[in-house]
Amino acid sequence: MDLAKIHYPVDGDRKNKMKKIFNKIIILLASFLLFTAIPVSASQINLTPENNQLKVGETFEVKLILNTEDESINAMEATILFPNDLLILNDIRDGNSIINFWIEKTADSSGGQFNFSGIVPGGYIGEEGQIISLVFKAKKEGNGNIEITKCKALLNNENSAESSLTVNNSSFIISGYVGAETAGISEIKDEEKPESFMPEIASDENIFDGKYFLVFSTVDKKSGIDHYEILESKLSNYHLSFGKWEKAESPYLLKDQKLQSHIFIKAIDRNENERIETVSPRNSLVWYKNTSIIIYAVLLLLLVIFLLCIIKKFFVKIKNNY
Amino acid sequence: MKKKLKKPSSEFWQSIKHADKSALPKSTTGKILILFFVAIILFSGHSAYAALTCSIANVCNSPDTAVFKMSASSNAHAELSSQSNYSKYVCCSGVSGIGNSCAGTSVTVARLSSATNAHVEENTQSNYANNACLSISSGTVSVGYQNANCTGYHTTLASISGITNAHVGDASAYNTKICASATATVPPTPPGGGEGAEGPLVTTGITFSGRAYPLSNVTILKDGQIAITTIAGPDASFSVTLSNLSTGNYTFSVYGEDKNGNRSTLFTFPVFFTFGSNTQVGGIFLAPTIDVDKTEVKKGDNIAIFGQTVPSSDVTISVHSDKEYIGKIKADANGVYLYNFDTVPLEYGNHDTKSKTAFLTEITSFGKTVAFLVGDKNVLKGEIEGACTAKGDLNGDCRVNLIDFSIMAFWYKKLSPPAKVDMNNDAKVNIIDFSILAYNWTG
Repeated sequence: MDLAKIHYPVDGDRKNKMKKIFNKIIILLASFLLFTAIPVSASQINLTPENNQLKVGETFEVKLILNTEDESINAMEATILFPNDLLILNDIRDGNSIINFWIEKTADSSGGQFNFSGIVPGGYIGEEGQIISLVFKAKKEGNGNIEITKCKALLNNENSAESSLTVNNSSFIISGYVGAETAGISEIKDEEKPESFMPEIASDENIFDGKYFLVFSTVDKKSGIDHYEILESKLSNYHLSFGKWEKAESPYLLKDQKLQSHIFIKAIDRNENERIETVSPRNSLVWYKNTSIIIYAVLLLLLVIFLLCIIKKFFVKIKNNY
Repeated sequence: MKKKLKKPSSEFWQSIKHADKSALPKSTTGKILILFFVAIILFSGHSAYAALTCSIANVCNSPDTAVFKMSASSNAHAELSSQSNYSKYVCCSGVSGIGNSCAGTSVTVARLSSATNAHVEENTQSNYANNACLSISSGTVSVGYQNANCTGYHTTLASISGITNAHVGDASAYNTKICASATATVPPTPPGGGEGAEGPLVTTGITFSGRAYPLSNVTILKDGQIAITTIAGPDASFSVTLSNLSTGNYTFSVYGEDKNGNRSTLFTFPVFFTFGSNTQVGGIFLAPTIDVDKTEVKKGDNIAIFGQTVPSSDVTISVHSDKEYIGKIKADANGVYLYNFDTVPLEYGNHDTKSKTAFLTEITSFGKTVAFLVGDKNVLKGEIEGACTAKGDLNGDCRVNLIDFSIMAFWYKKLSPPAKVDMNNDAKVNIIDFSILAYNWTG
């Protein structure tokens, strides 16, 4: 539109009217230019409940989904707030997450919040990237919101710039009580072991005073990893070991800093399927310095002597009987 | 009902006495010693098949695997395991399913200048075409080169005198060690079960194919961890298959490593597998590698910008600060390109350069960005600079992986982190530092 060609009438009222129309056109044009200048591409993070009309006692699942809108996101952190007077956080499901390595994943059910941070090496581009799934149970009647706060998504580039993020929260209504026929969310059927993995021994001056530590990580695509357990043993078969499996997290400070032990790492998923990986000793002991082998040998020896004694007694008894 | 025993004859007792004396030594100490040694042999035999173990041996019988052979224990030439001129075997054992195939789940241990009487080079080099490989039928296998020891790996295969054109020797012969690890996916199953199923539920697979750099190492990451490596052909094309995957969401990344050890950016994509599906991911075209010959260039002098890509492809080079300068050059038959950029039009200060490739109808995105400074003097880039100076390599093993992630995670939100862990120098370790780590990830 060529504004220079607009004709202004001399009459005062008509002049004011025309000015108002002119101002409106200017505002409209400015608005148009303003909105077209805003980039349409911005990542979205959405809380998507499977159901937001709930009953007291009912369990329901809320998924946190990332839509990157063609951006490549390689790191994320956020806090999810929920009303702890209305909801109990029953379960956290990360089995099918796009996050490959979790930095933090802590739930405070009584405080009504869940914090997480993690990375996707190489970045994630996609519309339906599931970050995590939270399973809640409705405690009492009422209305509430589940909200995402302190959310950051970083771009996979040399500057690690922050993506302009659009956050979509979720609301719910709890009304009435769950009947006998109302089913909650289904349990995940998982008969598969966690995926195989390769633990590594490392040392670095910036961690554990330069002592040797073990790093490990794996995933379970169905129910998710519940926890890890570690056993350090001088024996190559963990069934024969005197040691106990202990819960562990990566990085794990090794007890045997001489690296003479076999290290067994057990990954256990939420359905209690297990996968055990082994790291062999870097500095193997010769047999006569391996106390476990000596103890077993002595026990075996005592057992054999005991059996010999019994056999001897048996024959002596038979002989005496005759 | 008790059955009455027949009284043995006196000959019977004589025979027992006789047998007893002949079968065992006369003294009790002797008996104990024999039993002790039986027990020791029993237990030491049990530990023989724990994990990957490699050593130099004069024979290497099945199921052990000869990865390659050497003419001596030191200052030696090498030959492929299929040859029969040398008697020193690099013999590996301890993990079920290991072999020396260069197909399937395998890694190149070393490259040989010929099938026998060969010099060797690291698998990151591309001067030689005969590969000595370590493979596993089901599981993971990895190889690396480290100075002094094989910390972080299961075993030392051998040692070499240099990166290329090298002699080989046993583990103690040279400072550069060839290190390897292997883990089978079928661990020992204890009686009673309860460890979950393995076989029938995991039949899904994926095949990756595309273009990298001639004879370069191509690495596939599955959810951030090395799943398989392969070597591209002389025309830079590669194809590799990964099988036995569960159903679900995966993030795969592909990167190449050129003959100078420079790595491409990660080419990453998510894949969702349904039960029994076999997915083909074709048309992967890795962006060219890039490096410069100077960290600082005197204004008006040339700076060499070089790298590797597909042979005879068209390379576009961008030099940018405030204004972008574009140059074009053709890669040679080995995929190598070299562009001498005249710095006359550049201002004093920091500048960046990056490159991309067009080949037939395909074009890559821009690859890694390399920085340089325009100043008053020329400062040559050190030879060892490159892959090992990657941001995020906190423990200095030339890789950015779970170890570095763990070190950084140790300092997450802690006060006074070490300078090298704090990637962006803001005196704290937070999500930004992890993002930088993720961008530079190698697995």
